[in-house]
This record gives sequence, C-alpha cells and structure tokens, in this order.
Amino acid sequence: MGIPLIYTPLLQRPARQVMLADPPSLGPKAQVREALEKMHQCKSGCVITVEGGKPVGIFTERDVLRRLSRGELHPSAMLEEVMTPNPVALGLDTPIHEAMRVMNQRGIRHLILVDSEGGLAGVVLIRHITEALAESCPEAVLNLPPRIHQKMKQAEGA
Amino acid sequence: MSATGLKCPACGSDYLSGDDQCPNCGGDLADLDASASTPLGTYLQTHTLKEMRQSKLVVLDESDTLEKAVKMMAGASTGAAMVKAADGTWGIFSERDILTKIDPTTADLTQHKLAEFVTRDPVKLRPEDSVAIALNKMSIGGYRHIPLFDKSGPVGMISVRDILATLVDAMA
Repeated sequence: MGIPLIYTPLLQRPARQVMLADPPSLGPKAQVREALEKMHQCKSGCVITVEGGKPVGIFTERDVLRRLSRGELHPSAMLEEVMTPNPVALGLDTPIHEAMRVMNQRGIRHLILVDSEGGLAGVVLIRHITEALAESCPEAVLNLPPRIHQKMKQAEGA
Repeated sequence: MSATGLKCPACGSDYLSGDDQCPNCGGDLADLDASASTPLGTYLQTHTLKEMRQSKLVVLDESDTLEKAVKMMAGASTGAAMVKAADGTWGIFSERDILTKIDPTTADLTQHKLAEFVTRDPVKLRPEDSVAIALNKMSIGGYRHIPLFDKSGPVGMISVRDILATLVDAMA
C-alpha cells in the first residue's frame, strides 16, 4: 500500500482550483423551506449558513433524509435549528489530497473553504474529488472504451 | 487466440504484445505502458470493486412507499436504494430524487410510491470490475452510487465515499 502522491501532481493543486465559488448560502434565521428551494434551484446538495460572511453551519440533503425519516422536517423551522453547527472549514490553499483525507475522515461530501479572514469562499464537493482523481490518471480512468462489457466470442472481421 | 498473459484492462480479454487496440473491445492499449508508470493509475486498474468498502444494499419494490424508502435508507445511512419493478427490471432511487421531485416538507410520504421517483436501468457494474471503471462512470455520468450486479441481481452498492475511503487508506 502507500500510493506515492508525487506522481499525481493534479492532487497537489490547491483546492481553490476545483471548488465551487459562491456556494448557496442563507442566514441562520432563514427557514427550512427557503433552504430546500435554494438547494433545488442551485441543484445543490447543501446550503451553508452564513453570519457576517462567515460559515456557521451547513444543512445537507442527508439532513433532509434523516429528518424526513423521523418526521422532523418542518418547513418553518429556522436553519439554525436544523443545521450542523461549526462545520469543518479549511483554507483556500489546502491541497486536494488533504481535502480528500479530511472529507473521508469526517464522512462529509461538502467541504467548506474559507479565506484568510475566515469568510466563506467556496465549497469542495465530492464530485470535484472524483473529477480530480479521474483527471490525474486519464489513461487509467478516462480513456476506456465506450462499452467495456462487450465481449465477442470471436474477433470481428476476416 | 492463445493466451498471451496480457489482458486488456477494460474487458479482460487477451491481446498480443504490440497491439494498439484491444481486439475484443477496441480499447486503447497504446498508452498502457505510460499509465502503468503512475502508481495511482495502476492501483485503480488492478483493484476491483469487491475489494472496496461498500455501502449497505437497500432493496425495495416499486410499490413501496416513499416513507418506507426514507426510513430504510436513513437507517442504513445510505443515499441510494435498488428498486425492483413488477416486470423484474431494476431501477435506482436516491436521496437527490427527494429534493428534486417533490416538496418534502408538505408531501405525504405514505401516499407516494417509489415507481414515481425511480430512475430505470441505471449504470451497473460487476464486483470484479476495476475501480478505474467505477471512477470513469462516476466522473463522466456524475453518479454518486453504482449498484453491483451479478447474474442473480444486485449484490452490492458502491458510493463515491466508499471509493474515497479506500483510496485515502491506500495513500496513507
């Protein structure tokens, strides 16, 4: 084990290069209804709760699923009542492989990036990680034939 | 063709040294030596999905209610479930469907059947397929879950977080 990362320079790029800038955000007093509308509109799996420009919480589609399963998704509840407070946030220059490690360790699919003043700058989505992994070894991942399960009994042609 | 010991990474067929394309699937073989030089690429091509961490497989029926699906998925901490149709075909239902297809704050979950939400004929892979193929499907199709099938039906579910977990461990 121990895949050496020196051969994968694309994973050493700063996460700011792959993040979604200006992610969907709302104030802590916004209602769950608004959060869901925003997620729907932006086709996003999360809304970040922001106070004075700084991220103070996150509300994700997994929270929606969990609350729904307990019958606790009230449209007029305030975001601050349902969000996960003090979300994990890293600096803009965190390397992608470090973002990967933190997302895995914390079991999260959305990683907030903050600027040097702690203001919300963007969010790294797990799909950015998948894309970075695929781009870092295109020969292995991207250049596959269109139909990999196609197996012919005999080679075609004369 | 006699066995050469050289296997196409995509379909597993034998090929002859010097072939630029796989004689079976047409996959590009010319760059194989180049890809073998990146350890991550080699890892992705040589490890299979059955070696990866997997999510809990939740299997439901199209006639099941949304309420049942939500409870089963939340209970299994997984964002996707396989759904069997009356004609025996399979579809997939994911937590994203809840956000995009109904208003979850007002909908009566007991009144909705999964048949309304399911995505039919999803991309499926086999447990013996490589991690590279799963990453290919996930990055190009934008999927977060890929069901694993054998001849008998669904045997597993792999999520992008499962792949991430395995890779992070392998990179440590």
